[in-house]
Amino acid sequence: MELLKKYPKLFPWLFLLAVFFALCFAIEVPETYKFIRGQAEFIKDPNQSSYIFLGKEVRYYAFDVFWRLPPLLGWLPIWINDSLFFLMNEWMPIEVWNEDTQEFKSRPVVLQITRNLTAFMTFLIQLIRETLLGGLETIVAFSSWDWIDANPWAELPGLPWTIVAAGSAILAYKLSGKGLAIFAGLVMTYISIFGQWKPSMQTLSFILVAAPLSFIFGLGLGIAAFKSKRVEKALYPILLVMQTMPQYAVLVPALVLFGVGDHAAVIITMIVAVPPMILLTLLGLRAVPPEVIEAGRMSGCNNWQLMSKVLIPTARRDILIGVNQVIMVCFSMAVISAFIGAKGLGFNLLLALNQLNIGLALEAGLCISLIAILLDKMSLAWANKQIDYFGNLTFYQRNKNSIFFGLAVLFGIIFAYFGSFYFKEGYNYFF
Amino acid sequence: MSEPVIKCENVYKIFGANSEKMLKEANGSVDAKTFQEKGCIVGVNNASFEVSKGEMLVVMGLSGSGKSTLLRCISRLTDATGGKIFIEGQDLLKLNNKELIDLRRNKMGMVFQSFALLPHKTVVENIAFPLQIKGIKTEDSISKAMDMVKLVGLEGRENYFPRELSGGQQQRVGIARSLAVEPDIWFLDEPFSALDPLIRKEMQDEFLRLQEKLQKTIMFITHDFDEALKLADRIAIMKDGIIEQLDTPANIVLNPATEYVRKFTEEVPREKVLLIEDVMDKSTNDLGNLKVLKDETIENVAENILTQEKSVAVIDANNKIVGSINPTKIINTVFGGRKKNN
Ligand SMILES: Nc1ncnc2c1ncn2[C@@H]1O[C@H](COP(=O)(O)OP(=O)(O)OP(=O)(O)O)[C@@H](O)[C@H]1O
Ligand SMILES: [Mg+2]
Repeated sequence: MELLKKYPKLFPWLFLLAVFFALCFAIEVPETYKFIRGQAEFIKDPNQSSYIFLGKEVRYYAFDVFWRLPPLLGWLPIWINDSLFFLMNEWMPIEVWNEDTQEFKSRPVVLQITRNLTAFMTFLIQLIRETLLGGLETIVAFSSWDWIDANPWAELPGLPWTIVAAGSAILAYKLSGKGLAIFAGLVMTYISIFGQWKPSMQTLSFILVAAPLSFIFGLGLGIAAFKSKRVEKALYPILLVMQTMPQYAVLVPALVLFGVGDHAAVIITMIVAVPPMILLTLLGLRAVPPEVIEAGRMSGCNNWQLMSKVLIPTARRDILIGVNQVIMVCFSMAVISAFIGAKGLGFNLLLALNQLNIGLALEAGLCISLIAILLDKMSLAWANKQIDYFGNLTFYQRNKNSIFFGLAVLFGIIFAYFGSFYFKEGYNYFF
Repeated sequence: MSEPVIKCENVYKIFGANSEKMLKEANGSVDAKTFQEKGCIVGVNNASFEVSKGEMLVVMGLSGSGKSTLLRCISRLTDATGGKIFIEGQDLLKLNNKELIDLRRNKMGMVFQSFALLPHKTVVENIAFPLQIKGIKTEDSISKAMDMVKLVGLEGRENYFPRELSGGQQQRVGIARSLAVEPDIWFLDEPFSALDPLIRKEMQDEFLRLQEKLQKTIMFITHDFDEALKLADRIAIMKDGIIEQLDTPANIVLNPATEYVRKFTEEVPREKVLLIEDVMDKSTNDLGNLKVLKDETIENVAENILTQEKSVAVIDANNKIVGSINPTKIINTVFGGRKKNN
């Protein structure tokens, strides 16, 4: 007891040790895991003895208890696997209203939650994707398939590449200036000329969902950790694991929980991209000089104003590095998540890898890095933007770029829409 | 007399774990040394004083004597460990969050020792910041901020960022920011120490002029005794968190309460502190022709008095003779009997 008081850390360690040994002795390999059981049988040797614990045979080594460890830990992953499937497919069924069959169906709660999440992510991705490329599903989400069948005109036509290129150039010009605008225009033209338009836009739509979500979650959790020591302590081990976990290892559980496709890719990307964002947010907020905080308080800030107007802007440098990290991770995940069925450039890369097609690989790779650079520069420029208080502008002057942009998008959509009628099944040259 | 604007009763600030418990156990007699042995640092030790409306209290003391900490307690940037603080009769420590924010938005301004400007905002945005927090429209707050920019002489630099300014310029931004909301109570933590002598003098004069006009209640921290003498209505001298003496400049120099204060004021040029009134004789016999006002500092009139043979008549504002002073007395006060004075 004295010892425990002196070293308070000792208690959790002892507890962990006890749990560990309890697990070692209590867990018995079930009949179903033939392979593992086989391993266990294989390892059985004359030194092993056994006893009956709660009606089951528990084998152990008479001489050294640690010899038991490999087979026991060896089947723990399977156990985890099993419990995950149980959680997904059996645990706590709830009644859910099914639109298609018009009846209540019982579904496990976890499955329901993940499916809802999935549907939401899919909707976001599709919304952006179909604005860029055209399609039906966004409209379906607001109505139904029957309605679409009845009204064949209702279809998002997709923006012509010229409009997208011009739009991004204008945006870049507004955010930063001529240099970035030219770069944006060139990138888009390059992508279009080399025929990577569709996969590029698919990747872009994926990133445009994944990156902001990761940013918001990372920033939010970072702030929470900054405000409360307890949250920080709880987050820290998770962050450590997430940061060091190979990205491939995350693919599998995500696949089980969320299925195959872009939405699962978004969720995995968030898992990988959020931790550095949290850490960098925390780092930045910590580095704000206390007197600046005091100055904010003396200016009469409430907590929200202090956070949004003093702390975050002052910590901006680190947070921006976080944003940069998020974007980079998103692009690397865009490639990796091709393994679980995400569409886009990553998929092309995977194809190129399988076919040893160097040209295609290079092209897709270049597209990815170009888009990455563009987005990174744009986000930086956006964060560094200054407000001009002295220009005495009218509403039109102040907003002329956005008005122009909006008009261009509208015009493009209409143009492409009529184009799709005119060229019918053939190649839509307006697109 | 009306109610004091700032009133402190036995304020303690002790840093460290268990400070409240230790303060209770100490039963009112806090000793910095014994506390330090137990791992606590005494920032402010039993401070009781009042500041009335329109008064300027200058706080002096060596580095680490707890001046900034005292100011932080009164603005409630840190919660005092013990004691009571009243701002215009309200118990500061009992205010809830909203009331505190209201108080800071409308009544208090503070200039920080290390400027504490927001690095992502330009000069004019920094100055407009408290106004915008208050919810004033952007245009109004910016135009008000521009007035402040002019007041502190930073025209032409309103779109600079703090990192592009020198220390003195940054400090002027800090001063302008604290003035933007027109606070009644103004805390200044070494506001002029980063300025060069020329601008410092200019700012001091400007400061006095402003004070004459605005009549704010001010607590002012400085290391510079000349500055304190020039500005102060009263001076508080701190040592290890304790306020050793709080009195008018003349009294502090003439009647130091403790040995520490005496040492602290030893090098102070008396002719700048003392008024004729403080050293004159009551007798009005045998006077020369020269007359001096009783509220003049010795420095201002010494030359005239020293050229006289006889005693000089001392008059008040109504031209009535209230006493006399002779040249030897001046010489004694300024050059000689520093020790004898007591
Ligand atoms: N947050 C804190 N935690 C612990 N101790 C502190 C803290 N802030 C101040 N102190 C201690 O309180 C004492 C008084 O500090 P304070 O900043 O009030 O000094 P000061 O009189 O303003 O000095 P200076 O003239 O250098 O500004 C110092 O000994 C300091 O170490
Ligand atoms: Mg200080």
